Amino acid sequence: MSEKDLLIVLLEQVFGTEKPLARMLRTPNGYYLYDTGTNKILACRKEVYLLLDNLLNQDFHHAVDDYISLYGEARFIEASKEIVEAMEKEKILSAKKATRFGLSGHFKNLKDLLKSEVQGINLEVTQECNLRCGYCIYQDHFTGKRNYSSKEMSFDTACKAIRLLKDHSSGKDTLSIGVYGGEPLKKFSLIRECVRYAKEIFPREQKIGFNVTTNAALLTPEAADFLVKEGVNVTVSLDGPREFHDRFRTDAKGNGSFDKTLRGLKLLSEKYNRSEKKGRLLINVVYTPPFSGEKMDTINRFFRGLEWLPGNVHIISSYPADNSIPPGYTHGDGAEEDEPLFDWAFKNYRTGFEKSDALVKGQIEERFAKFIQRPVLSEPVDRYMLNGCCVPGQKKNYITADGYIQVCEKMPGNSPPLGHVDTGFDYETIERIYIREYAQKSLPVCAGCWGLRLCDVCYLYVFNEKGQLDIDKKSRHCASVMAHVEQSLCHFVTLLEENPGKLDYLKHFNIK
Amino acid sequence: MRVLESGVDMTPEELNRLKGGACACGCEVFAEVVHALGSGGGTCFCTCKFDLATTSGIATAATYL
Repeated sequence: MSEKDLLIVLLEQVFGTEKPLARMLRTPNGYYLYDTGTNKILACRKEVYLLLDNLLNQDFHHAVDDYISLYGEARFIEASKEIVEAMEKEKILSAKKATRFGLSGHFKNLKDLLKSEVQGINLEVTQECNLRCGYCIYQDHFTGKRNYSSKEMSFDTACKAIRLLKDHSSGKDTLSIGVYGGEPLKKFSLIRECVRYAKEIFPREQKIGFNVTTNAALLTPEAADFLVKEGVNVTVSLDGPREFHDRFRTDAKGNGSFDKTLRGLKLLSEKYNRSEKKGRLLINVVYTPPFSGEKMDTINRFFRGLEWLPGNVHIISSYPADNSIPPGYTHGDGAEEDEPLFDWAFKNYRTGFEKSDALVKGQIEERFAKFIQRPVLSEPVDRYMLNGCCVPGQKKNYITADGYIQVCEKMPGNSPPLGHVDTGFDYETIERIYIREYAQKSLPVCAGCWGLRLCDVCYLYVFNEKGQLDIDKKSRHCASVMAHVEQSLCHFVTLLEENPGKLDYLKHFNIK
Repeated sequence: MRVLESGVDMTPEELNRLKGGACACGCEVFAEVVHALGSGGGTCFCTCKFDLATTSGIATAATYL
């Protein structure tokens, strides 16, 4: 048998029928293979890249014939030998369609896990808000979520939720208690009582991080003093300079909230700057149409100009939720992007890395940290995470004003509750719907996906407005998620090659 | 072809022993966790508080296995 024929036989064993899970990546500077089985990224020559691209994406014999006709036998032999050598040495290209997920806490004993390893709760202290932001998911035009109401959480319900956390967290030494709304500062007295109660019932060994998400417009000096004194992490929603912020963030009469929010943010910042407590200030920017890289530059300059912001401020930016902007806002209004948010951030991060502006880092760091912290296997393991799903009940636990436990605050309102503060976790529902049914329905969709180990899809994108587990909805979302993963992986590889070591600080980045 | 980030060198025997093994908390992710050390530490996919970034952590997990 000739060398060429021998190589064809070897390659056919791998690419002949079912293709291995892998993705070819092309950056401005090089050619790469991402291997799903081992989670490895390998740099390769252009000739090897082209052959692998053929083999992964075409019928086997057509792929070989096509390559040889274009580049000749000698190059085929050379490239094939490199591929075969790498398969032997690096154990790549051997993972085929997944037959199970099987990895992560979902597949442990759920009762044991939720008995003592619950990490946090997020309390919906009120459904009332002082603002009516155009893209808010609680507006009437957005279906699938509740609307604004005057419903408030009682102190009794809040106490039961905090007690639930205590009773299920003995194995954790750091915990999180968040408050959310509506606008939580409308119930500031309840926040204060919750902090007091939590400090009273949790042992000193357990460190509790309190979090408040607010538009800051109602912030009083007294409230700011309390938040800073207690080391509360505060997330303030501010979309940038007045012209962008006031377009969407208005009150019911249409008045912009910029001045009030900025006043609240400055009040908090000044107190945080003087405080030795460890609370942290975060800013949440919703990036609204018309989209443009120039607009992001303007927003970035705006935040850079707020010299009174604490040095460690964290700024995260995101698009409005799907279908959250009413048609009137976007019609002919620049909904198309000249530069996607991540690309804009990458362009800036590439020159600054760790020293980049907070808005840039907020967009890039978590994504790259996930890449750099991913396990790189010396041999493929045929078990995978349940996409990007958290273990329901373990992480966030959004407690609605009337005491129901939801996976998180972003989930559709009708999704099956994980339990109630009066009755505790509903293990049967969690296991049946969120784990078994999710895994069973997802596997056929996910089994052949190259991005199984990098997937971000979580429950949020799978439950529809009726609260049903909807795999069609998930599939529609998958395409954009994987396109983003692929693009960001290319950016990541570009930086690894251009500046080895510059991303090392992200090995210790705390992924939320 | 060149691997872009280095992993931990493990003998096939070590790998086989770890495959199907468990993390210190009892879940099935230990094999993956050990390899994560090669990329500078990292966190366990499961939710245990096991210290993955130290060699003593490896020893403890090996004892568990």
